[in-house]
Amino acid sequence: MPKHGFIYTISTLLGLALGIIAGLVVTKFAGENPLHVLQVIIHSAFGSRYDLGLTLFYATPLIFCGLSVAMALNAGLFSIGAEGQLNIGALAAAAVGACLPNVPGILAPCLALLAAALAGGIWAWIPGWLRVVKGSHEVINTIMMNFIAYAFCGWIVRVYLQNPASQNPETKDMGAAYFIRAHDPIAHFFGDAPVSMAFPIALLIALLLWLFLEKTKLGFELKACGENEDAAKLAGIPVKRLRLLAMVLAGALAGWVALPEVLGNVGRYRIGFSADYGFIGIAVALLAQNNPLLVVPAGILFGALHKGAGDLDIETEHVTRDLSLIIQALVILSVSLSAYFPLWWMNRRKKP
Amino acid sequence: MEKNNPALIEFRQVRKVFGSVVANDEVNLQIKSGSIHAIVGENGAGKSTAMKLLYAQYAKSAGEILFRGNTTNWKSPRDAIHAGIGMVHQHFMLAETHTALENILLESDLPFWKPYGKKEARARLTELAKKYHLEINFDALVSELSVGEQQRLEILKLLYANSEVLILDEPTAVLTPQEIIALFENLRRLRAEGKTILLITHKLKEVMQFADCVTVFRAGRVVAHREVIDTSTAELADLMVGQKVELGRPWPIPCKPREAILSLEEISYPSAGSKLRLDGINLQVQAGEIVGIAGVEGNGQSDLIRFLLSPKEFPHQGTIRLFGEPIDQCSAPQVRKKSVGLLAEDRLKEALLLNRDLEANFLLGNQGAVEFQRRGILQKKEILKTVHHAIEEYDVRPRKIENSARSFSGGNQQKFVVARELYRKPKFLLAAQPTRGVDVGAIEFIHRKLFEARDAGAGILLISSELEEVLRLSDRVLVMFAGKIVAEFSRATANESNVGLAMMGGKRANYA
Repeated sequence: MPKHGFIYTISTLLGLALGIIAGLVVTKFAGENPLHVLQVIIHSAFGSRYDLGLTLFYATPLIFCGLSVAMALNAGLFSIGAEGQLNIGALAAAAVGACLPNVPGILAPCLALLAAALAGGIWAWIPGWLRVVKGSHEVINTIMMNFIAYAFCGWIVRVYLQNPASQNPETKDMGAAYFIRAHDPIAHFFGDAPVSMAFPIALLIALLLWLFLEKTKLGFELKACGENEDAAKLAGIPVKRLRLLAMVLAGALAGWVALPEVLGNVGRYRIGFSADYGFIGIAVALLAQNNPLLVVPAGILFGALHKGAGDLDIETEHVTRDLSLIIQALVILSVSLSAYFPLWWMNRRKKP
Repeated sequence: MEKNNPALIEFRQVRKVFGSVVANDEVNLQIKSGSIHAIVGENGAGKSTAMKLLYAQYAKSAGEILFRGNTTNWKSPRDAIHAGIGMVHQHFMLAETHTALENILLESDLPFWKPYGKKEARARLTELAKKYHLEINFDALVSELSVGEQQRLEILKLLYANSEVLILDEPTAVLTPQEIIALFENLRRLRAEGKTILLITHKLKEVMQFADCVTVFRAGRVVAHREVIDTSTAELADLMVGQKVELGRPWPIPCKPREAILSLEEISYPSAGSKLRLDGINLQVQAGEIVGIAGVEGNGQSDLIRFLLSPKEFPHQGTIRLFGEPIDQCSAPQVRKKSVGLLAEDRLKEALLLNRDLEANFLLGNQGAVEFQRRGILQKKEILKTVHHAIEEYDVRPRKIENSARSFSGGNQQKFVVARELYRKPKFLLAAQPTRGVDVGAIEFIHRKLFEARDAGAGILLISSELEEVLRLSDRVLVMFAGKIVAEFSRATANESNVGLAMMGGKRANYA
């Protein structure tokens, strides 16, 4: 109901506020002053350029994962597989960097990103193919592919790419040209926080994706598959092919978590580097109602919560960083509930 | 019942709004006990809404509804059922995988720890069924019952719950002429027993034949109340539409058949069981003719539609040709790439993106048209201009492109779908149930558009369970029964009784 877009926006914001307030009120029962907790979180997330830089650093993979989940959802597929796809993508980027260390200049990160997108895309293609051809459900298959991805990455790293200089399970160092932080003005601006070019690139991709879904024929067809499969099929839209495409794109987007994490930060693939980005990405996409543009603020919000809650361990007596998970959960709940508010608002008039 | 109040049910200034849409306003209505009371109106006129307010399926926004002289304050249909009001919805509310008996027990209000009492229920039901001539096989799965039997089951369900008032929403939409007569015989019997029957319909002929009084809705309000003996079909039609309408105007233009557009030769394909879903179908549609397929729903028409749209999905024997080329190995997108228009059987599920606006919905199926996209980029201005023209020409109301498809009434949705599907002037049009649940004015309009398309040279295959519609539109009538085409009539020879008889498989219907 485009006419009531305003009410929907307001109610989503109210739901957001309510979720955060509810999360803070919980701390009251733990014996904290909620206002103090809020202060700690905000100060920690946005208090300095460096803090803001870290927040955006955390937000970047969440944006990529949010876009990945939103992409699949727009075609009517509920992908839980971003976590596996991002691991495969990050490993592929790191492997290219480790195996071809002498690729020169800008070509190097491009090559790594191509590998990440391809690897993530192929990883997502498998459950996509199983869905459209065999009809087995993508929720189950993407979850299972996550476990396979963990095991696969562990095997590749330990057996083929283990960094001899490290006790941790991680890949060898990439060639210097791959490491985008080396020539990155953004990190410098944020006081050498790990944020990198990856953040503006994520914004750009969100914009491109939005243009694709809203302004192109293919995007229209893809969304039609998500809204009404039968009608799309009868309108001559190749539903299966487009869903497969959406799945592969979703995998590629998740794979691009390699950009902030591998190319932009550590320069290696580390087992277990992802702080559940793929799963939080589902929440980001839901909060953004699958709109690529809204994925950006949603990703930043969750990034800020992640960063902000980090200081709770030190700054408060009774609550720990896990509060961020509680707030995330409450935000999702209350934003979902807030979808009912406009309905109530529109039916409220002229009650007897 | 209070003696000083002759009305069993009374609406006083009832109003209902959905968002910004006023569905009912200032509805005043009195319904006498022991009568068959027809509620007529165009689609979107608010007749179903008013009845759902009575049934407490919707909460009224203002006004009051009195039952037996007392103001009702029902919170849900459960309360209405307890008070003695029952409703048979247009789309039956039955669990298909359960037996008829189980479906009736589903309604029971017993606390969960009490046993169902199947035996007592069966005894009481058998008695009820006998009394009202509503016999059905209680142990058959609902999916095995015919539509007519399912309807009888729905009515039995109400009687089992001791309903005094029976609301029937478009009960004849899916029945054959013979079944319709049987239904009304049953309704008369119920009336004789003192039950009150509220009949929501748009078939004025039935109102004139079977009802005692009639209330006409237009644009959410009651515009007239008549005793049936004091009115006529023509007057009711005028009241419904708000202006003079010509009913059943004949279209005498003889068609001159040209090249074959669609031809099916000996098409058979099996179902999971042993019965063939389509059994040796031969048919041909030529340019400039309308071929109508009549039949009781469930005799293979839906299978035929699905098959035509995507032959590849159904491994079959025989050959299907479209515009002369075999399309046996074509999937839906490939079929639709040819000059094919489709009025889908179920417009909500198969023709519309309910949450999107009219612009997106018009684009659906037309998104590849050269004028709507340049190198894959959608041309918003051009699309909006076209949609604007289309809803003007097809009189889709309200003229609000930005509203979601869901917010339009059935008739307006269908007019919109017709506009969309005829936009590219298809050479073959598959019109499945083109006017289901659509009001008189819109039916007339849609029929005219179909004739215009035919006269412009399109071949049209019409599949409809409305016999009247098939007879009116078709240049040739084919009758489907049990997956076969059992009879063919020309426009001159087809009539209600011979086609109706063929619809029952050529045998006299046996009504218990």
